[in-house]
Amino acid sequence: MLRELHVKSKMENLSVISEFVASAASEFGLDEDQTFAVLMAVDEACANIIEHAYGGNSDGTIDIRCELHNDEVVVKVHDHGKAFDPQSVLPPDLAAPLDEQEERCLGLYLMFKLMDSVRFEFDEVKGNTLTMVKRRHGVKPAVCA
Amino acid sequence: MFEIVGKQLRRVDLIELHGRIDSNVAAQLEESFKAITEAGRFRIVVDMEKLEYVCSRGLRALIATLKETRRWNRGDVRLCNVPPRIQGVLDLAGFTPLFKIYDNTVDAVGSF
Repeated sequence: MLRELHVKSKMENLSVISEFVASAASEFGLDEDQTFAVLMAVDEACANIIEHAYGGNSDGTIDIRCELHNDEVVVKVHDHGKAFDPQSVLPPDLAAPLDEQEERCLGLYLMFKLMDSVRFEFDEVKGNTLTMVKRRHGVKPAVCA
Repeated sequence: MFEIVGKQLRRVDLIELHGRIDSNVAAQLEESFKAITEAGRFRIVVDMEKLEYVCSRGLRALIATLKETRRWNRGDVRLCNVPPRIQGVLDLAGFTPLFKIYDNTVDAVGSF
């Protein structure tokens, strides 16, 4: 099973992306909690692409592909924006005092917490591909950035 | 769909959040909070009963306002009617211990 969406890199398209992901996740048999997790992870990923990879330029492209492989829903998000090093993004310190909470890199952290696996690939020619997996059943292993 | 309904009560500003707060609309939430604190009001209750989704930028707006209101002990941001999924996001983000959270609006407003 495969569903695809191609949109421009505009924040206004986040709601379109969300509807697409919710529909695909439901079609692929994820329950409501799992669907919410995938929806949030993809929303955070696409917001990052629009804001950081494309620097707010709304002419960029975002291609989203949802596939079902056995009991895994695989979401691939592809763009041609600026690459980044995920290792350079520090995970938030959950025990940090309130004064430091605002500066945390929450979006990326949440993506890793919400999905069963998250992988970034950067290619100057082919573009950037983010692959995230959510298992339909079973216990989520502890995966963190 | 996203809507912010603000009510200025006698001692408290009540903000009702409806729908979905993604990065496209999170700036409106930031502005709503800013309008309250810039007017010199620092006691805020956020009613999340109708909130379906909040992104990390929306969460950061909550934290920024929490910091602003608590400065010099002049106020606070208190949450109420938090749906289970939103509570889950607050838990994941590590924000639950930072906020006072109430089961209903009356208790949250009355807590000030």
